[in-house]
Amino acid sequence: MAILGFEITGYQIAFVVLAGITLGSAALVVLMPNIMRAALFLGLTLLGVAGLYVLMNAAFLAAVQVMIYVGAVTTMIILAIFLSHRLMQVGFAQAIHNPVFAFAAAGVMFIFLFITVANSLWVRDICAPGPANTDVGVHAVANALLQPYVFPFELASVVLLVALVGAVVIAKEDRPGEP
Amino acid sequence: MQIDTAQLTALAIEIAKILAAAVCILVFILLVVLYVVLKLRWVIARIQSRLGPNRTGPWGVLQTVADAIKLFQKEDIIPRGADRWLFTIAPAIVFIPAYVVYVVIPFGKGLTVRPLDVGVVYVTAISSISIIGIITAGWASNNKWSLLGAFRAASQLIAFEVPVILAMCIPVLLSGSLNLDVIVQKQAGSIRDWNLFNAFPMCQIACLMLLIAGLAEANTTPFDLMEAESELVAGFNTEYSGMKFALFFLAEFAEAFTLSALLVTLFLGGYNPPVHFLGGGLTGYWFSLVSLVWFLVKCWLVVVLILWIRSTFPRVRIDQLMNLSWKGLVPVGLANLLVTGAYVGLWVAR
Repeated sequence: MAILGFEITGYQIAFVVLAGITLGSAALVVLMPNIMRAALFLGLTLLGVAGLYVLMNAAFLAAVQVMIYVGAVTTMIILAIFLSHRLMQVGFAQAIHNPVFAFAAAGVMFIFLFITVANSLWVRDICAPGPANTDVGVHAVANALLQPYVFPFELASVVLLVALVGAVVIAKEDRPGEP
Repeated sequence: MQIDTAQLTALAIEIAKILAAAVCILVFILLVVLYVVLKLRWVIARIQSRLGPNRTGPWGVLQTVADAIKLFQKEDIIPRGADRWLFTIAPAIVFIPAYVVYVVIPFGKGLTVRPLDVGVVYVTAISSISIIGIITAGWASNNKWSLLGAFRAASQLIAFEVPVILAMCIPVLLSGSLNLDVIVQKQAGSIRDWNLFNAFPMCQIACLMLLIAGLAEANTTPFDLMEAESELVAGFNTEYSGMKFALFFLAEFAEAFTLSALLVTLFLGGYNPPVHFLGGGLTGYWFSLVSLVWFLVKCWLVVVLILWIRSTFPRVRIDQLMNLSWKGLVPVGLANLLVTGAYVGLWVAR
């Protein structure tokens, strides 16, 4: 249908709504004075990104995004907030101690991402609105993970192993008399 | 400003379909929860040699309806010092995932709202969102019992999500698909084609693991540490009353039914009849109807099993619960996955 002379498809409306949710809640994550609410808005941001994946016909990626980022990472962040001592204090707010460096870091990140996105080769046929892919299939995912992307896949598992060992070292009790 | 009427009509029909499906699922969940709560009281009463609800309506069938009406009338209390906004939204964060999961469940032949290709991952992903709601509820209540309940909820739900996923991998490996409909169709035929009676002992171990870990995820009694009455008053929902409490209650029982539906779909042949002459030869709408009946009968049996477990076992301690997951189910699940992978790769695929 056409609104104000522009051709607008349902796909575009969905994109604008999801992008709005993602960006709006991302802004709220930074601006919220209450850190618990900020963490919940982070969950909503990640959910919005999952919605954008669905629009790109990447249903598997979207489901994994929800499982890992919304289900696990956000929960971990909230747990970390719980475990900090100042939990119930009124003034437990976010603080930006060093606005200049924070802005610089964010700017560098933005430029890096912008260059990456601008130079990427976008396969338009996959992104185009249309019927969903016939079968995502476990075979396709397995082949992708163990053939072209085997190096990042293994690297991720090494990173997880390091995190695991680190957690054990930190959690280990220091008993006197033991090395 | 010109508007294409054909497109608009198509859009309207699509939206109407989605709304109709949403209402159907909601009504189904309400009816199932009303029934399961009633059945729970009957089963517990019978196991404890008492009568159970038998006054309200014939055989006491209206008891949960009366309870629901009572819940609607209760005063909605928000404690002083609570985070009002999060306190209000938390029950919705718990209920909506429990409700949205029903979209991929194959109730019968052609009776899935959306047979997604990533069905199994979708179920685990969406159910993991409700953890956030429970933690939020516990934190926003500004009550130490609620907060302790929320703590336990976070550690318990994360611990048992891993065995649930490991157990669900086994039928996925055997059928080579993440689509719940395809997994059911691969089990068509007779009772011997069901996953539970194949690939001994991998499938049986996986089924038991999904039952145990699923009970912990659904927060039912041997594992209901996050609302343990004898220790934490009522855990994360201590401060809740009225409709908000009803939403937690609804979500909990909806999750228990989801668990039985998943067990039926992944291991007990889904909507397929157990023997061919009990409906296997039918086609079209008749088969849809018969398969729906078989699905509900199987779910009913699993629900009775869950209620039986619920009314028989005592509650475990928090350290026992954590050990059960990390030292018991996770290693067994990983070994099971390895063996099943080898089995599928070396025997089935050839």
